[in-house]
Amino acid sequence: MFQSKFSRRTFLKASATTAAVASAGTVGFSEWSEKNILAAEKAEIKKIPSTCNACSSKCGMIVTTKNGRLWKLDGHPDHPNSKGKLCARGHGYATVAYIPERIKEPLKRKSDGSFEAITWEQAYKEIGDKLNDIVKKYGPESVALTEDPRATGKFYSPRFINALGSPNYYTHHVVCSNARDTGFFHTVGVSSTSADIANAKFIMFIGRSYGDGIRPGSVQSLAKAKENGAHVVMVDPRLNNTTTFADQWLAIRPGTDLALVLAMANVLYTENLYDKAFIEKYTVGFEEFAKGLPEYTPQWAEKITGIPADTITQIARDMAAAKPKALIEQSWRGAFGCNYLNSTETGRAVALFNAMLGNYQQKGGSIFGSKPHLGELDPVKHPAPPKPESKKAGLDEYPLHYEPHGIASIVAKRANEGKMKAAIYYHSNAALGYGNPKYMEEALSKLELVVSIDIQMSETALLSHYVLPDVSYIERTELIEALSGKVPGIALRQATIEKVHPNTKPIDVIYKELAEAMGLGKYFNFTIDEANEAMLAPLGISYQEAKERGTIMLTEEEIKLGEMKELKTPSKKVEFYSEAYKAAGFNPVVRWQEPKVMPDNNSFRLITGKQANHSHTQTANVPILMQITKDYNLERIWINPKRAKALGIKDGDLVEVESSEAKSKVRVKVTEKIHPEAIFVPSHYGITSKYLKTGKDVGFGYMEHVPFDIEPIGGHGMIQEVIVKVRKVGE
Amino acid sequence: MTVSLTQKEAVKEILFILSDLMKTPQEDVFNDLADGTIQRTLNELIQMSSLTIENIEWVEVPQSFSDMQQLYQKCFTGIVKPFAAPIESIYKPWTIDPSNSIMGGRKGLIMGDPAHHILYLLDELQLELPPEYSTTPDHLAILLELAAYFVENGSQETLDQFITDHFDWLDDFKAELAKVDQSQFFLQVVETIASVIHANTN
Repeated sequence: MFQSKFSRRTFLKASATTAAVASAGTVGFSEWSEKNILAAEKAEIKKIPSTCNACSSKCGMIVTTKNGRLWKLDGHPDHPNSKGKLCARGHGYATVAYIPERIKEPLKRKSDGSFEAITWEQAYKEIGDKLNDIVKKYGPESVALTEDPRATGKFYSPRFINALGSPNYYTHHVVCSNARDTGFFHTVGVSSTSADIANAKFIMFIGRSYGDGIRPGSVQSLAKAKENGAHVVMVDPRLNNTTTFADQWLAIRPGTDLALVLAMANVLYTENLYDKAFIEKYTVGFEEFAKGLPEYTPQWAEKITGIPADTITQIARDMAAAKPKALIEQSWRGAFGCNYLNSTETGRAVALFNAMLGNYQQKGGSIFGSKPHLGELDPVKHPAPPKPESKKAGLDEYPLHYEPHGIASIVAKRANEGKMKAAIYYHSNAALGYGNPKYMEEALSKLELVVSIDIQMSETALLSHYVLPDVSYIERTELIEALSGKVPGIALRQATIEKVHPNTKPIDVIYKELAEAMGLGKYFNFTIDEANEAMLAPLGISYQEAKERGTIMLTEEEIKLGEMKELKTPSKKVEFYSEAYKAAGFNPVVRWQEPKVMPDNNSFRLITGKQANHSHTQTANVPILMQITKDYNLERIWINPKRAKALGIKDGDLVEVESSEAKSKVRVKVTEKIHPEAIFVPSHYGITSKYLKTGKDVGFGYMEHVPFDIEPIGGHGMIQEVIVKVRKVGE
Repeated sequence: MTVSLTQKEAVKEILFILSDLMKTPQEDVFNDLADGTIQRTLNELIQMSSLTIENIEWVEVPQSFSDMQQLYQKCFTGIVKPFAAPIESIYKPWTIDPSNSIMGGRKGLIMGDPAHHILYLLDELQLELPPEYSTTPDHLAILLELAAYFVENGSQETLDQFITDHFDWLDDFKAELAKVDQSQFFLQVVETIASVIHANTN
């Protein structure tokens, strides 16, 4: 037997026959690796379809494993977002499963701010008891749950918070697309449309960059459109990576996109170029909207946007000539997802301009996608929690905002007011990204309970009383995801490797076990596999087939272009005039609205956006992706040469950026690719968590400079309503 | 210590004891450390083993079991940064296979080729790995036990091969550990481990 006379706890246990095997069977690393690592014919190779998690696009991918290890990734050929390709982030982010900074066990914050490892049982007991106490003492409306949703979270997270009796479920959209979502929702009845880019003849992007916030499928569609002769206009104060495809770059004064769209609407209207038949049949309130248009001439817009009136006029005429195969792409965060005081109205104006082009449900136009009709769990066997009696926090003050996403920053606001007492964050770094970090820290510090569920020690985790270790996305199977579009479909993320850290758990298990510890297990009396079976049942697709194919497009349910269905607006039509706006005390028709702040000759507007190798700060601690940043100095801020010269700043100089909220030091990239009134700060940097050593101290976080505020209609964070001064502090 | 051991047995026991110190601390191990039993035993075993290693005189030994737990957590687990993972894969290319298009020769990741080689060896030798080490089979504590196994059951050639293959990262590990505040005690333990391993290959 293999044992020690002195050791207290020998770990390796041997059988009696081992000694003989030892002399016969062992080999050195070189010999072993030759046979087992390099010799592919002996390796166990699996190809498993799943979905990426490097950003919110969740592209379909095929994961190749070799001997149980992650080996190779390919885009899933059937998934509309990937179309057989994956971006750099998709490849790089998968390594997150193996980085040593993963959270490996439940952690509890001690009084000195450090963390200690605890058992899951202790974590569930203490968190459960505390949540129950808070609900009993302050009411369920004092508890909130926030996430950057994925398929499983979308179902389980609201169910969990509702099981506590609270309606307070929020998503990351407060700093993503709340403005666009709200503007579109009150205009066309959905928070977003899609676009038939490949067949379009004239495409305008406003701040949206397929080459930075990448969906490979979208890039392919744009390339196809260009091959077909489409004209592409990029409207962005920054020359982004999609401008490679553009025929024109309009370096618009940031914050003035609404003026551009209104002026183009003016041209369509005054020159009688809009689609009258569409307006008459499918819209309401056009006359009221049109009454305001005459004042928004291209000459008026030139003074506001800096874009020549002739250019605006020509583009509007060209789009009219190409209609209905002409569109303003609907965007996500881009320039009007959450950026300015006027962003919700910009979103509304974009949706209305597309209506003036009559491009809805047209080939080469804007598309209302179709979703698969997924099944549900048997409500008798698996009862859902009752609908909470109270209103979601934020609905009273911001009645027009897109309620399914909510206003996540309201949690911090309520905490600072002493009205919110507990917050759960899943797959969300709200403390760094959803509002000014100082404000967020103050707010979270006032809460009686903060729980983070994550794979790494984010800034939010650091402010949490408990941190629960999630598995990474390549280690977990999720719920079926519904794909919306011209062709609806389903996608399944599934575990492709064994759990790297045995004591981590997927979110469905965490919610289920925490609910059980709280006496709420009856709402989670099913497994994720049972839920998936139920969801697939009406589609006639077996779970096994979903596992084997990963992405299944329901081609027989492809929507018919040319057919407009009733919209989900109150009038069931496109609403140029909104009664809901009027009832809430806002202008029922879109009118020009100034941004909240404007820079003067001595200052700049801070703007932000994505680079192709990162997804905001989510990927900042992945060494393989951060190395690209370091190799190419991507953390530098962009400044226009004219302004740089006036300030005595040369390319590569160290500068101080000062706003009302913070001072930051960083090096500069002097480039013509940025509007003179703006500095561009990439959105991926400024990690402050000492636990994330790869990302920490690279660049600075733009959010440090954003004053905490909530826009009154869409309830977004107005992340580019920031004025800064820049001065040189070093070579 | 009243037992008499052969040189081989003594080396095996040294490796076992050092392995104990690299595992999550337990109170009985701390007690033996605190009253000097471990140091005394190691020195006697070193004498019996004839390994040319200096006597062990560790300083800054943790004052309480709680201190030792906290120090271990701070130095090795990653709950506090910086830390030094006592895991071989972290310090070596994740794989030597050029066909891996994701990680390739990148360092800093767990479950690399070295870990899989250890899993292979354990399987061949019919040795069972505790579940908590299933994704870190190349943890220093396991490597030391496995080295002890080869001392007992393998040829000198096998032992030499194992040490050459799996202990060539200790200098990098020590360098990382030196960056951790107040890591002096464990740094000495790792120095001792390196000395024992070095003496064995000589």
